[in-house]
Amino acid sequence: MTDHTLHLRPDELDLLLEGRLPSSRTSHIETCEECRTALDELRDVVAQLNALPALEPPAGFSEFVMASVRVAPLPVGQHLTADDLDAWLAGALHQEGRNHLWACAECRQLADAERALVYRLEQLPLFQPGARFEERVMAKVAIPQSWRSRIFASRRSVALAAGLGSLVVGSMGASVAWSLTHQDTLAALGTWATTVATQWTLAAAQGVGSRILAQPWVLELRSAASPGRIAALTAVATALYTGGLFAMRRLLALPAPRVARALP
Amino acid sequence: MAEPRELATLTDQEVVALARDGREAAYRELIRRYERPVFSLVLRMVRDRQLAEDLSQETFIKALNAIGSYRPEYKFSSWIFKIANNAAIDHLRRRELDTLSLDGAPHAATPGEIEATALQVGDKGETPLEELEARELGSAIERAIAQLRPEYRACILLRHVEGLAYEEIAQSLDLPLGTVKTYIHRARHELRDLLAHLKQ
Repeated sequence: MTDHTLHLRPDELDLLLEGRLPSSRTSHIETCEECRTALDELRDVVAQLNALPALEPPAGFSEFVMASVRVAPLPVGQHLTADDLDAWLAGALHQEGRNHLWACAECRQLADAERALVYRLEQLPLFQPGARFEERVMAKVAIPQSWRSRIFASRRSVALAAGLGSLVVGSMGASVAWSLTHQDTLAALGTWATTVATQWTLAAAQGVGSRILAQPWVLELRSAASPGRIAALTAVATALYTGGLFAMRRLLALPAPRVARALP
Repeated sequence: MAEPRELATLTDQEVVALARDGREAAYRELIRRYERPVFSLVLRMVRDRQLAEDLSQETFIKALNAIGSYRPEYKFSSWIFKIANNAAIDHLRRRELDTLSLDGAPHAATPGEIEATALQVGDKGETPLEELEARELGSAIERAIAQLRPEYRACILLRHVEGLAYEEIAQSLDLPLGTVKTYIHRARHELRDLLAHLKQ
């Protein structure tokens, strides 16, 4: 049964006649007798209008109009460009161009030919692919599943998701409840952990320090060290560091823009 | 869940968003919206119904399987026409001989040889499919379009048959805007010349 709320509106019938109605609406005409009748009537009216004879204006009409119009055409030899013709087809040609078109038979002929061609191109129909095209495509399309549809895919997945959810929520609730009722235990645990960690860190630092000091090269270094040598080493290290900084700055600086010179 | 009738009222971007959400009806709506425009473009590019169906099918499968990588700032129509045109152009490049045959064999030197070796679309309507193709593509303007270079053909079809703006065509074909305009102007010029005999 035809759904009468879907009837084609007059503007949609116009578009259908021009072959520009979206495919989502054209299918309606195949099943609706009423809309088909309306379309046939409209087609008859358009055909009759197209068949009306073109009336000739009275003699001297063009001369009379041209005598009354101030035309400022484009300079001689400067015909309309392809972009101008595009603009004219879209009804957006500037006044100067329109004046030129009025005065220049060559451009007028070209513009008329363009308009006729574009009209013919726009009348070309759209073709329908073969039957079951949609099904053939859909058979090879992998539709991504959202997490919601994955959960509700089967009873088993719903049960699994519910079980996991209960486990997570239950364990979180239980840990919160235990923490609230055993705050003293938690505080004692924290103090014990801090003390043990500090002791371990100090013991480790002491162990590493004593091992380094026991190395023979450390002993040699200590015996060879004098205030003068330490000062010299410090000076060399500072000079190397400063030199490195300057080198890095030069390397990272942006190149200076080259200026084109007219003369050598 | 949105019904197909409700989907018809949504914009392309909204339907794509639903498709990304895993709604099968949204996928079907996108196919329904673009099956005729895409198929028509490809058919006019390759001028073989069966091949056009295969390439259109390939286009939709590729586009819909990659819907996650579609960037919503571009029009969906530009995106799908880009995939369809690439499929058609790739095919024409692979089968260069097929397209050349429309203009006559490569070795044809004289106008007589060119005419003799040119493919006359629709003049061998022996099977029902060929008869259908002849009806669809046999008009003078369809024959004239077939004689354009593939790049011109794609531009003129997207502009005047599918109704895309110049910017959308540039996006679809990965061409600079100026090149698209030039191609369309030249295509119209060639079509006018090719159809001039009809006026005489």
